[in-house]
Amino acid sequence: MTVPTRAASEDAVALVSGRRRTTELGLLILAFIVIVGLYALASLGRNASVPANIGPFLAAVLALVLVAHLVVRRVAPAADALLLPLAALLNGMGYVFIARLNDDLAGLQAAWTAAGITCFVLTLVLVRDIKVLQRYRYTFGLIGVLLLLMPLLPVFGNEINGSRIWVSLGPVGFQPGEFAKIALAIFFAGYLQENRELLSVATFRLGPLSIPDPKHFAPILLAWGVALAVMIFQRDLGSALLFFVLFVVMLWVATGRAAYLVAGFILFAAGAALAYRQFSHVQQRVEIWLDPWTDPQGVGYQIVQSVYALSWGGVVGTGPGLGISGRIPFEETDFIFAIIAEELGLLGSTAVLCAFLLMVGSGLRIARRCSDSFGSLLAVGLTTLIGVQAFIIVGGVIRLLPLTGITLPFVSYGGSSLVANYVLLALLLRISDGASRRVPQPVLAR
Amino acid sequence: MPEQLLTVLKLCLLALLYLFFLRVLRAVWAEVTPPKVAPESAAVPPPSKPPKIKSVRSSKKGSVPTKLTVVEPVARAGSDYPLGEDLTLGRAPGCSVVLDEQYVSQVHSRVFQRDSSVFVEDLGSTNGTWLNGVRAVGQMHARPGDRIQIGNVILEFR
Repeated sequence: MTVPTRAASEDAVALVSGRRRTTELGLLILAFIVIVGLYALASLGRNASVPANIGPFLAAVLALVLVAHLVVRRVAPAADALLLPLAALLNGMGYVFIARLNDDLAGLQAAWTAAGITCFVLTLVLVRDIKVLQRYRYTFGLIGVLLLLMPLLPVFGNEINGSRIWVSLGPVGFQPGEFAKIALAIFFAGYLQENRELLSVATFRLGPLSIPDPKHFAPILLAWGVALAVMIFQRDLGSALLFFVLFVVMLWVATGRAAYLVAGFILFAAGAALAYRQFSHVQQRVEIWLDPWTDPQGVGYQIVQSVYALSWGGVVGTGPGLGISGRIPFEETDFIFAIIAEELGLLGSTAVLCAFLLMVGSGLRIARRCSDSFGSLLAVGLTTLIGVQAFIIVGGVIRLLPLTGITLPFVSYGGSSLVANYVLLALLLRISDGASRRVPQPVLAR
Repeated sequence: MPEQLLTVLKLCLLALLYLFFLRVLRAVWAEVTPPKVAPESAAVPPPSKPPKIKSVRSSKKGSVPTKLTVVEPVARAGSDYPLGEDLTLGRAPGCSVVLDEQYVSQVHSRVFQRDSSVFVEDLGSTNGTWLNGVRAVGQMHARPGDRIQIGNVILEFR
């Protein structure tokens, strides 16, 4: 390429970067105002007074938001402008409702948010080019499987609320599964990018069907099988479903074969039927989903209360801090959406859904713009993780799906989830930044 | 605190929340619509199209290539190599197609058939194998009309 064209393309990148960062700053300030307003209002509703710590709260939120923004401006200037403000809004709204429900958890969640932003910054600073991750795809695959297996270890592993998905290191407990998802998404993206051609051409005959050669499937089927088996063994059905969808979507996107979707759906139906037959807790979940009113004070209690909360909220909600708190078990984690729907009503809960929709839209736009197929596939995978996770838990809360306890990304209380989602966000921003920079340079054969 | 005031404040907050989404949508709109012809971009001459290797799809698209024909360098243009079960390309005398040219590695790449499909695979060459201008990673499916570049040699599947 000639020198003037390159200079011009750099100017174009600088122009795009400047515009995006200005948009991001504006949106972040608006999100900050919404969060602080919500915090003050929740306290007014609950105690009829402006919270005593409104000053420190204001400073802390502003500091976190600005640190994240300035780091993006410095190390990923051409990245997408919408993801960070949307995540900040969701995180802030989640924090306000957690603080309104439980003061102890609020302090912890604040610390985890700070840790999340720190990991966000570290990821952006350390991963300067997304292709570096492609080189370590098998390492990431191994790390993912090992992380999933960690809770089964006798010393660290912990069973809490019937799911053996916790690991305690000293005083800190965390769910390695949250990080395993990201590691396995990286592995899938790397492996599929390398073998997409082979997996999209049917060369192996199996009776009347032509399927791609099974030997190219082996590593990916192995990783998938182990992960799924482990999650089912740990009774973490929500994560198993999420992981299954991630796997099928990435295969479909990588090969462009809709047959993978059909096969995935059939496999899912078979697996679901088998799980229903084999596990009593699955049967119980489905029965509660179909008719929670058979035992409204017992097993159906949680979902019945959630439905009451949704209906009590109406269109505009009871007002922050004015709902009936403390009646739904796990309202800070799995059922935070029901609390938001009660206190901000249909409008507020729709806003949360809009935020997820816009995040998914931004993620898929990044995937489309990305010229390098590894980055593109990884963006699809990470976006699927956020979108499907939100869908599964919100669907469970509003009785669209059987309830499976996973966190609502960025909103629910939960350290591992928050930190992992910030890492995921940083990776998406890194892919977006790389895509915007590389656009003006066409691929040349020599 | 009177209840009416709280209700008003709540409605203000919801309005603010949706104002946020309005701004987000505006930003999305700005992203997806191509920018108007700005003076900056008008001053830039349209980037000269790089001499991209064109893939000339033959009319019988989807069929299986049967031979490799040299397109460049011109001195060797027209030489045909029938595709066997497995073909190695490189500078070494042992290769099925010996290409003693600049930037070609000893055993550069491999073209093989599997159940009536043809694949190209780079064998860890220094300068890579390029299929239709894209660097080959792993095994790449090849159709008639596709071109591969090995060093400064360009071959077409026919």
